[in-house]
Amino acid sequence: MSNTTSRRNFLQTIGMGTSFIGLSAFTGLVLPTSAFAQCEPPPSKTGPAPWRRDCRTILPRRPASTLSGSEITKLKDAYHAMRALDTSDPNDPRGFQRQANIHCFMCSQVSASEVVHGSWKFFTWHRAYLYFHERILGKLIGDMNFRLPYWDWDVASHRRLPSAYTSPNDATNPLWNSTRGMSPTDELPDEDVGDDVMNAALEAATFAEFGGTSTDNGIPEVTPHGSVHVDVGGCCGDMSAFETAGRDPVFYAHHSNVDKMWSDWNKGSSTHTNPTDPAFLNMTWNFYDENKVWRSITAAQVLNHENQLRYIYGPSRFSELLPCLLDWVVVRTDWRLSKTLKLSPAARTSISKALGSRGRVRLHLTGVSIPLDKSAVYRIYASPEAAGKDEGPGGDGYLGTLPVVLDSLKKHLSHKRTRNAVMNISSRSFETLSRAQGPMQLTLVERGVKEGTRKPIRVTAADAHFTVADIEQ
Amino acid sequence: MVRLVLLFLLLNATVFAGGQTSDHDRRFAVSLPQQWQQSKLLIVVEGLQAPGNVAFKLRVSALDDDAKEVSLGAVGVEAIGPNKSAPRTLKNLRLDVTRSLNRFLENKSTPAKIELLIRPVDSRNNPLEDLEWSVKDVRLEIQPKPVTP
Repeated sequence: MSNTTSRRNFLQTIGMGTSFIGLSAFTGLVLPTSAFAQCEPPPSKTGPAPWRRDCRTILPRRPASTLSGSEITKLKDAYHAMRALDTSDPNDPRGFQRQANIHCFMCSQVSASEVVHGSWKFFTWHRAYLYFHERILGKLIGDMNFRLPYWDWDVASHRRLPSAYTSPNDATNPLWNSTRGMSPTDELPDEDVGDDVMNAALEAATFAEFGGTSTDNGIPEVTPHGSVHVDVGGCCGDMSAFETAGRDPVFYAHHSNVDKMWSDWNKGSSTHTNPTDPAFLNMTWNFYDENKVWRSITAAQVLNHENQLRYIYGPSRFSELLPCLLDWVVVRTDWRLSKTLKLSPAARTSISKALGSRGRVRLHLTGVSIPLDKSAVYRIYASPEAAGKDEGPGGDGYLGTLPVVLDSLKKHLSHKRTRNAVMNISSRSFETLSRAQGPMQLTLVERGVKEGTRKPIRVTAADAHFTVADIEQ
Repeated sequence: MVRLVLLFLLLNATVFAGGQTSDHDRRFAVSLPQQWQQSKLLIVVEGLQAPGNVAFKLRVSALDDDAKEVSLGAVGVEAIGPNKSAPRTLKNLRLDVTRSLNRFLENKSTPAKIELLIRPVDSRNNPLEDLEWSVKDVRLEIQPKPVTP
């Protein structure tokens, strides 16, 4: 720790020295010297521990403007506790100032290739940063169900700073920041966060356009993200500069909404996919977690915020569950020989036990031959009879769907002729499978075709097996 | 995937010095491509140079026949930090002006060129007259509009 302290002091000293030199050029525009940056260097010589799988309940991050009185109290308590660490234990990496210094360090003290703005690092790094910040806040108030709120400035009636951050508008409020250029009654201009801006960002056709590339930024990083920083911070406030932005608690609500934009962009279209380039997926950063453990996390580990990081935006019907699944275990069938699905007694026991304890069961079909004459959604049933009836989800013998989307009709012949399908097996569909007297002939039928004209197709696949995961109780 | 490949049409911008605006504003004339109505329209500000300790917005306006400014949008430029007064260069800042430019051109006979005014402003959109800034180029890029599934 002494090494950490000395490195930080060294950088602080450097920052102080250069700030005096820089004061002369733009009086009236320059940021104040009181806003000295104290960037946080990497803290220790020992390597970080890898990020651990998150077992928290999946819960929504909610608009700051919709928080209840008790939720606002909890939010303020969390930041109060985080700020208190700055004085009670300045070396605690969970303290507010040191949290802010992480952003400072990654935005201005690292080499150009490591800076987390102006490239595809922007969305991924900030998601990871907010994630650990959120966990620390939760730990400090003893509630790991705590989730950061987001400032939904894209909603026209929410263009003012969320009231929790300005009420009271003084130092007694741990969400307040004295350097803001934006007053509680100011509104963000439509030009910076209005429909034009949001539509432009969310309609970006590729990740390169939306989230940037290894060397270039995407559209929303500049507007609305950058514009809101400038609007809140004004000429000289903390929010206006990379080095100091993390010192304003509204930074985290602002970035939560920026993170939501990424989530919304992903959901907007099946073509809105994240890069698969290993150079993107393997980007790795280090953060302190809520237990002061130095952790490493990769970009690949933050792409699915719901499953991996345990938060969503908006309500979730799964939020009451705590699905901390144990390892998936493969349950084989004799499909390769019989080309039918048959449950052995051992498989029945294993699946039944998992479902009985809120575990998860999946049916995997690999190498399924698919019709290639058109784009369509096919339903998979446990028998030709059930497919003929096509009662749909929850109906007799229904197992799941297999969509076939062709790039274009002209190119359909060049398509892969097989697909892999994975279906969740519910207690209800397991009942169907259990009721079968003999081997099941899985059958496809095109969705939306009227009774009498349906043409069930027997499933031909290379293999079929189950995977089963118990849940940690 | 072919549809997703971006086919940028880069249009040369011509810099006009001076004019009715402040010395610290920059004016550019950009040509409108024929297919502009079927495309996404992006203003690309290339090589913006400004001190690293100043936060500002770069406001882009179109000038109509009466030299009246019509805002097309703004890009936010955060400062790096209070002691980073050295000039820094931002490679490309992109601003989607599809809707705002379409509105600007609504009920107008399409001009061959559009005159753009670029101006640094503070958070309340007041001009930053003292800011030393430069820009290498401003251009209009068009991209195919995404097809809604």
